[in-house]
Amino acid sequence: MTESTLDSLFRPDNAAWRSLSPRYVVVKRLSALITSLVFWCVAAAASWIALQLTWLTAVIAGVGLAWTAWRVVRAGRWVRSWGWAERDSDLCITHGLWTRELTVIPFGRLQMVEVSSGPLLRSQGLANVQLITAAVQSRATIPGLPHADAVALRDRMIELSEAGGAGL
Amino acid sequence: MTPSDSMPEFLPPDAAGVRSPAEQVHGAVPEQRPTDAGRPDFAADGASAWPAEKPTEDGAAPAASGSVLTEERPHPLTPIVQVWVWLVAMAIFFGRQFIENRGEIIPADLGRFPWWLLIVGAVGLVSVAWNLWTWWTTRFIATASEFRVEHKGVEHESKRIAYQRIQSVDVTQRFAARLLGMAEVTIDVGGDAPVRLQYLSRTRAVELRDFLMRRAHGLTPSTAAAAAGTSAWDDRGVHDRVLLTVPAGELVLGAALSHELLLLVLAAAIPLVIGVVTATPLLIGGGILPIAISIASFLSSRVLGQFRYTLAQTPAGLRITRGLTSLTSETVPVHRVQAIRIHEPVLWRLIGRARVDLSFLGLRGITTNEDGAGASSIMLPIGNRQAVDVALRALWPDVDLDAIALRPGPRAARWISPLGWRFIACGWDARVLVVRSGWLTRTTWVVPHARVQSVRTTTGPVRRKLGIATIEVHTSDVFRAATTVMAEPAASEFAFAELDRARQSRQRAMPTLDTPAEGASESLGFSHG
Repeated sequence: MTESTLDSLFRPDNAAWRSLSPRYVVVKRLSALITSLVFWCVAAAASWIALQLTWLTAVIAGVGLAWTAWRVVRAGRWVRSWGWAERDSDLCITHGLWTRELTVIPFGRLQMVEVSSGPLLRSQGLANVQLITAAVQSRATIPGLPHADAVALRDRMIELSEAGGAGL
Repeated sequence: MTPSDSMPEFLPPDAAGVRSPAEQVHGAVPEQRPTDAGRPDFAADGASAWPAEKPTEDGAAPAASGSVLTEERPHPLTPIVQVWVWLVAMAIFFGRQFIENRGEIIPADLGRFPWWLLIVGAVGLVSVAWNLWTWWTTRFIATASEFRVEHKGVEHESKRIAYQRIQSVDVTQRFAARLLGMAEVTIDVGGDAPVRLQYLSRTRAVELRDFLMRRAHGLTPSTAAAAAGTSAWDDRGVHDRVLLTVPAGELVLGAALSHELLLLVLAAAIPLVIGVVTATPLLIGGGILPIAISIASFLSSRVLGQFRYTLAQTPAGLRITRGLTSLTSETVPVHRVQAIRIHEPVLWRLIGRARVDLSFLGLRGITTNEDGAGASSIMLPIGNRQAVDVALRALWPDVDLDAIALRPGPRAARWISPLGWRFIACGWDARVLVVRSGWLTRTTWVVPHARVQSVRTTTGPVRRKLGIATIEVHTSDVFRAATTVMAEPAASEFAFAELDRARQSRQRAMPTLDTPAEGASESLGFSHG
């Protein structure tokens, strides 16, 4: 399977694809750094206190550092793998590097659109947009949009869902 | 204070829509009473049932509601029934104990007996008082635009249900309540927890159910077909057409070949084998007896819960009636069904049987308890090919599964699903999408295009190497999305093509009950097995 056929499957040409904000890479890197550092520091400290084996603690710390570096480096590619597009009557969201995913939601099916942002996202002026339909499984999120874009997207989605709504 | 002598004060101030005290007390008689002219506001014939407009002079009626059609409490015997339900459970428990250890439960000297009785009596009195208070503070109100249930006890609570939001209404007669002619009404409103009304007289519960279902369909009472009375044995109106009944033999067959029983038998086999090998008879007896009892109780509860399973077409929707000790009657508006699943467990495939589940919006779909009373998502507990067809035609008369060509999944799928890949298939016509997968239980989803919520295509490193992708079609079903596997060129087109079909299908109106199923008529009285 070549890269081009994959692209056509998960990023079809029949739509104008848009990406996330480049600033989201910063958010992703920071959060990867914080969560993995906290996790691996706790693991290394616990192993040192419990077993007092220098080599084991060193191995844990090494693995932790490698893992953190991997996540920080990969964050850029991961963020660039995301794409979303509005077509005539549906919204497409694609993402993933190893496991690729394409979700298509008709505007008429949207029950609710949520805009949310935590402290890290807010510091970069970004927000997540969550799209909710009557199906539990179709819950889809577009992370890391500039706040103004997120609000505009939400309002447009609500408008379109009212226009295309077909009840349940 | 007994309910009967304090009845007049309990009556709400407005007499409109409230039965006379004498009749409310009368309602406790278990026999079915004819719907007589003495209750003009609830008479079961269409024209006068639940009057469309009957303004009330009651100034206390909430302002938002419009004209109040009726305002009443649950049946006055409710507090007694609730205690009675408990008493029957106790009686069954002690009765079993008594049979098992003959006579030991009766004390030798009767001097200690009243002391024991006193506690039971006190507990009983306290619960009657509490239940009486709850009953006194509960009322349900039907207005032109909504249905309300109000509790004004320790906490005040008012539940409002817009008629359009009603997904289904069930009438459940649990064993003990059924002996007294009482029934429980459960109103399912989708996303929220269902609203329960305990207890109404059986006739009243059925009238309420029919009223709510007609309103849920947006019908006015005058256009509604007549509902007939119900009895302790079934819930069948004159206009109901029985489409299917499931004989007890089929239920036993289904339970005997179910995965649950297979597991129980395996559990029994382990101590048996160990006991035989190590020659310890105690292990054989002690290990097998509890499992034998649980097998027996599994079989009996399955058969009792589904006993006399009847699928009927009524003016208000499909009606499912089942149960031997507890009678459950579910009414399902056809246009609220989001999708169906046909399950064929591996052992059932040998005898050509299948189970049909309905998928609704909301929490209701979570209950798949096959044994208990109350609402479930099962449409047909077990049936052969013809029975499944009859059930399907009752829902969607213009859908013919045989006419839909199923495309098999890609051969490459055998690497990710070595046993089940043969069953992977997918097909569609103008109305429905059919998706099949699963080996241990082969599941066939039938989803009307108009009910598709969203579509997702996924692939991972392994699947990418094989050139296949997984496709999920999301409906409002909470369990699992309809999932299939496709080769990549087909997969890339499928998601967008399916959503186009969904859009076209939504633009055509879904058939409602106002245009009754034509194809279902020849299956009148059909019974298989």
